[in-house]
Amino acid sequence: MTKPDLRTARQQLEQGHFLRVVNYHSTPMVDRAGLERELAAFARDYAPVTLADLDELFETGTWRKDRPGLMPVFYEGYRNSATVAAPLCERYGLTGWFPVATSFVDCPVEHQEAFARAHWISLVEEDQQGGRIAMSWDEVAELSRRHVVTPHTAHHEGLDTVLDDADLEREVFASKRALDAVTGQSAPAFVWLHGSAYGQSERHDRAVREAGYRYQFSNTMLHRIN
Amino acid sequence: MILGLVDERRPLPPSEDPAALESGAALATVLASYHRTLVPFARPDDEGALIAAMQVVAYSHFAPVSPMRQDSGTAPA
Repeated sequence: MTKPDLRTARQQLEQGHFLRVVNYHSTPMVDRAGLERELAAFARDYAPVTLADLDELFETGTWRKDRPGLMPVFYEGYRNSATVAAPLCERYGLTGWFPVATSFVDCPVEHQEAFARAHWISLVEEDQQGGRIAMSWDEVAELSRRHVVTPHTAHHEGLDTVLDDADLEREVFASKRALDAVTGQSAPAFVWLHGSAYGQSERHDRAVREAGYRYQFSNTMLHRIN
Repeated sequence: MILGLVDERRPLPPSEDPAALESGAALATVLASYHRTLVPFARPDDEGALIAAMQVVAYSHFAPVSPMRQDSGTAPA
């Protein structure tokens, strides 16, 4: 297992084995113009990273496009990821990556604000004005046709709260089944709350592998595991 | 953020992209510099310190300035 440390990070950079990633959470309509400026600037300088691009990069070790790749990642499964961020990605030719807490999507609208507060999902003012906060399953399905949608556990949980087989089944396996059933695809990647790296817990690593994920995203690395 | 690529199944083939090798070498140098400057007390295996230094690399060396970007590194919060 590759542990996150300075020497490893330097080696990965020096060997050309890295990707630029920009992480977003709630992207409210009120800040749409700022997001658009930012994504437009990224699209000018960087190429989109599709799942096929990522697979090829891991197969060959070499990035093949004429500009470096950049992945905009929109976490949690906010409604505004589908209604604000995704259309902007499409306008500028970027592939968005959407790690979704699947139980947030499942949560009844009237309980979504409470769900967010109970599960470390941050809310901006626009998220707190009533109505739906999470994306719908229809939006998940629609997003998956042009972007990458994948589980960020079911309930936005991390290694420290997923303790037994039932927890692993719910957060690692069932979240993938739920997403795959809606998208008709195999969700390719998994992300723990707090971005824990692969290699911190054999039990958790084994579950992520056995669930069929190809990648695990962490704070400093992108692990190919299957 | 800049994420290192690691294949837990086998070694990654060497990169043949001169641009990636050149920019990666430059980023590795500034990462080491930021690490020495910002978190000189940190052990090499201190992931939090590494994240702090890498965030500064990302903000300073490839990200346009915008209030929209809520973080550049500890993403999966």
